[in-house]
Amino acid sequence: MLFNSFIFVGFLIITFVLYYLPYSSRIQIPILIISSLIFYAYNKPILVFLLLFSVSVNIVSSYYVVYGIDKYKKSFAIAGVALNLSILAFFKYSPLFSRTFFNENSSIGEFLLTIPLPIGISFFTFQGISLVIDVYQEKYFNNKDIVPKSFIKHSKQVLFFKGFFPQLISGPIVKAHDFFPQIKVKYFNEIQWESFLKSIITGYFLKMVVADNLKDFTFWITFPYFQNHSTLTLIVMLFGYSCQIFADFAGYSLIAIGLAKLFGYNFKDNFNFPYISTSFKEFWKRWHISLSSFLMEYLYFPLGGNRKGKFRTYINLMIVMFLGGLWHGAAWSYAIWGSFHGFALAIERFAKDKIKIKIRPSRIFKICKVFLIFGFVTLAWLLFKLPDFHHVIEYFKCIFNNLRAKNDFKIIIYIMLYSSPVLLYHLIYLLKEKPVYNKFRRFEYLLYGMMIFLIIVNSGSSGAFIYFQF
Amino acid sequence: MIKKTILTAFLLFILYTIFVIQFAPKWWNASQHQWQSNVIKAQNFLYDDSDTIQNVIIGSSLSSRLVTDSLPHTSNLSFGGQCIFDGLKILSHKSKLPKNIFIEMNYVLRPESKEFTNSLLSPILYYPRKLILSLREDKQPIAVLGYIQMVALDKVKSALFPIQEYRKKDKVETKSNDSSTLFSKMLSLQIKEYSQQPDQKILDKSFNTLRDYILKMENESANIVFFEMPVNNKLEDLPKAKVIRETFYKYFPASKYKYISLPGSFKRETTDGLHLNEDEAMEYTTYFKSEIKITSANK
Repeated sequence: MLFNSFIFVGFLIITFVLYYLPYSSRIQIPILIISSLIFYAYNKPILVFLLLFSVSVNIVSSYYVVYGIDKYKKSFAIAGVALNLSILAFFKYSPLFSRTFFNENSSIGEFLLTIPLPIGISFFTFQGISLVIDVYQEKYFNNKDIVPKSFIKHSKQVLFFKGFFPQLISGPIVKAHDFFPQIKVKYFNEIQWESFLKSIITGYFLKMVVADNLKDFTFWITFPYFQNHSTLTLIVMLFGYSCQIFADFAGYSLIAIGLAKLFGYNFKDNFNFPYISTSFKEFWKRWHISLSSFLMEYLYFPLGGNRKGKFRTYINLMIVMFLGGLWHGAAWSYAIWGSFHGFALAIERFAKDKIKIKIRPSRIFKICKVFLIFGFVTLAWLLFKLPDFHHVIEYFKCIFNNLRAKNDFKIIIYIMLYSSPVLLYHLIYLLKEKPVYNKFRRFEYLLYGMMIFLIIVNSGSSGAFIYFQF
Repeated sequence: MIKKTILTAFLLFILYTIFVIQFAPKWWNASQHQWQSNVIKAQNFLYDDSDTIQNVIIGSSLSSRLVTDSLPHTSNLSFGGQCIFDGLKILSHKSKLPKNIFIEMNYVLRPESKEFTNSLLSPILYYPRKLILSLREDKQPIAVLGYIQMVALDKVKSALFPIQEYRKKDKVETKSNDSSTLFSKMLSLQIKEYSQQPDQKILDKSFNTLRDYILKMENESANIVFFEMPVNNKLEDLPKAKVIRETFYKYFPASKYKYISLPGSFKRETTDGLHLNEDEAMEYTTYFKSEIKITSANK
């Protein structure tokens, strides 16, 4: 069920009304569980069983980590994480495994290729892992406050945590220590309407007006169609894709955050104006924050982080980003994309460690760094659009070879038009530190009103969210 | 803030709607890309309540090359990237069918795009768009803004470059695109595709669906005419084209249904193996026009 479909609007209204009915306070969680299962089952009902199996792994492992015999707690935690990862590996990476290690006629290879990719598996698996590790480490909360003695009550809470529909299929990846303390009865008069409205309007605007319109122009970044385009057109299309992927995913995250608010739950921001970053490190603190913070907490730190020497830090960064890349998709191009970012982070860290030249931070220097990081990040997005690495090389060749080819001004003009809200969005953020921002804030209703107007009259054809494939 | 936001959106919408109905110049419509052109074409057909359309062409991007402006009382429901079932579904939504329905034979195996037809026919959107002009696809303000920019750019270009030099420059640039290499690639891809026998299950399913549509339209006294859009000569007699042609004659015998045969002497190079280039499209339209005249005269 897509957030931008009419069926979803109907589904949301029914769930909302049932949730806040005067006599529903005791069954609010079951209401959200049932509606989340309906939401997940809408396209492929059979996959609900996989979700339930994945949830049951986390229910059992987290419960026995808390209430099991002390000497087996670690084993339960390891088993829980391993089973979560096995489910993810089996369903997500079997086709990649088949293509890499089996020939076309092998029956095992053929079988592995037929395994479907359940929507949202990467997201709910990571949430499950966060639960098992959080209760094992007991770093953020007292376990007994979070995991009730009643196994049924605990099961209900875990199912709710993993299945809550706003974040179920495309994140943000909500961590157990952020979500569990919020589970309690919610009241209608506690809804933060303004905050909800801002998230929802911006989210739908980014998705339906920006991303859905851009997708019809960035479509031409497809082999062999791009071969006929000029250098300028190819560069603008790449720029447009960078804006599209941001608008699509940030839009989805904002809608999810807004919807969660409607039911009284707060998710942390998933994007924080990533395209103004002046370093790769900053970029990853601003882009898909729920994933990067997950990788940092549950992978980079356990690997030793930066505590085991400089060389080991570089290697850890590479490993984390390589796996982060593979998390995005079962293709080697995603691993290359992740490795590129890992390499860039390692180089950046190396430069910071070794080069001690002090450059006086000027505004121009900062702007140059923003452009540089944006440029590299944008080039790397090409691996998302063209999963075949040969096509990526071909695209770059065309950028250099098609200097004299005819520019497609229709594509250029529309990409610039539909990308401008993304630029404006980042510019407004930069203005936040200036006094003029407070004057502007008084009239922000005009901006939100304009966004609603454009959602009504200028939405693109509805397309699936890019991050659904992950 | 919430009230002010909603009020602003409402006011903007009302003002834009009044502008579109009362003050917008005739050129205030634009299509940004193929999907949108398809939607606009379908909306124009669906919301046209006049009784002037006598002929309708149902087809894929191949038939969309027909120069419909030169065909009187004819509407072309051929959609790029789509198939005949999209056009047939839209046609079945009309309360009164046109007299003659021309159905393209080439892309019969492609299924209906539910996404496309649902976006047009879903009652939640269909009626508001029918009533409120500003909700229609061709009135999108950013699309029109882009169109204005393109027109302005063209004017600047034509002011800077004398027309002949500009055309010459255009030709040189197109050549540097190596479009002939792309053509060969596309044609070889089409040859590969056309060399394969169609899947029997898909073939049966498509033709049964088509038969259901035809029976329904015949019950409403519509005259059905099948036609095959010319493709590159190299594709014409390959297995896929042959099987589709034969299946048409099997399901809809030539003794009962009218077929517009391919013009024998027609040169078919096309742009990519499938789509006629501008000159070829014009030439075929002339032939098609004469066939329409014959059909109209016979009925």
